[in-house]
Amino acid sequence: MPALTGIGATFSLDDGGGNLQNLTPDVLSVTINTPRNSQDITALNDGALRRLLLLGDASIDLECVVNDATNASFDVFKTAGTYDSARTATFVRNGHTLTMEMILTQVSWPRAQDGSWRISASLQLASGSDPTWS
Amino acid sequence: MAVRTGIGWKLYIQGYDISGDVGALDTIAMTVNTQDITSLNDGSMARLALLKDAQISFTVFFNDATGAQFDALSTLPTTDVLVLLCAGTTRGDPVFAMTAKQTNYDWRRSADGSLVGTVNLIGAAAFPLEVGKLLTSGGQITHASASDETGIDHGAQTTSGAVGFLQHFAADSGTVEYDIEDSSDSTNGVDGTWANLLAFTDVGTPYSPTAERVAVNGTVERWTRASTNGTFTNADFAMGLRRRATNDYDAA
Repeated sequence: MPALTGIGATFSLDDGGGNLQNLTPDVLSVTINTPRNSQDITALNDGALRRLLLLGDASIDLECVVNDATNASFDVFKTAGTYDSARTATFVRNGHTLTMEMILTQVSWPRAQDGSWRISASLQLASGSDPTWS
Repeated sequence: MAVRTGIGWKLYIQGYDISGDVGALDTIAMTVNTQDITSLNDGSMARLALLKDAQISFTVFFNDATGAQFDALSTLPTTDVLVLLCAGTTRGDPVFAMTAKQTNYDWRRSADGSLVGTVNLIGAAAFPLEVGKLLTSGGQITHASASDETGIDHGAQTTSGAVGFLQHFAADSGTVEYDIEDSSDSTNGVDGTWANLLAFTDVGTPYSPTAERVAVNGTVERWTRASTNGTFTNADFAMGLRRRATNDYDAA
């Protein structure tokens, strides 16, 4: 299989009722980070760095248009200030799926001087479970 | 309904309409603090959502006309100010409401002679940035005497309460009673039986600009509308309503 582009990827996120909504038509860009912390255990007798892998983490950053159709981006993100539970986030590309339980930690709605309006949202891992692709 | 722009918005702060003086809204933010609860047997980070916060910041032009941004913002009030940001002026359009503290009133006079201000508002009174719907067509409207706006259809009755937001700009005489009413049997926002859902504090002379947030618990019928009652002339105001959802932190 050749290298994949991001064209055809899908992204879904729970709304304030815990219902998974497909936000693919509204997402301009998505950045998914799944880092691992590491511990430096390099000893006196090592000639190069030695490390152990520690806790994993995950974050998602989204840039979206504001779509006020039912169950679109506005409906999902408007509850950032009122819905406290974790949300399921799912990213799929070419049959590969990454599903994580996330906390919606920031939603910004900047209205620029050119008249455009968009959503910037950030999510962080909530579950303690390793982010796992299927 | 479709993808929206930011064109045609209104910004009201504590009874002042500064829409014509604002160039851009740089920040309209809802944030949630988190607590790390990662334990020994977790393979990755575990977190809980904690306290919420809100912020609105904008750039403003220096307009010292009566009732414009200078009157509204230059005193740097130490008391809470209630912000109503209307993302459109059609009844039912989204509104953002915030009980805020104004933290600055900064100006820059550039070498080209331009004068631009920046204002930052942060959450106060333990309320997050709240999202609701506009009840008054056009944003700011005038009721010459007691009357009712056409209602908006929320689709269904809910039982978790609601929060009303009032911006009062001016009136000419009498005492204005501002209310939000609801109806279970209206078909067009005009007919049917309407009852008082929540009432704001009456406004009398000298009719100074003011704003208020009122919360109510329990059942909210399918239709809601803005209403003025009492004996008065020419009340200028805007109103919004946030209907609480079952899963909201303040559902009651």
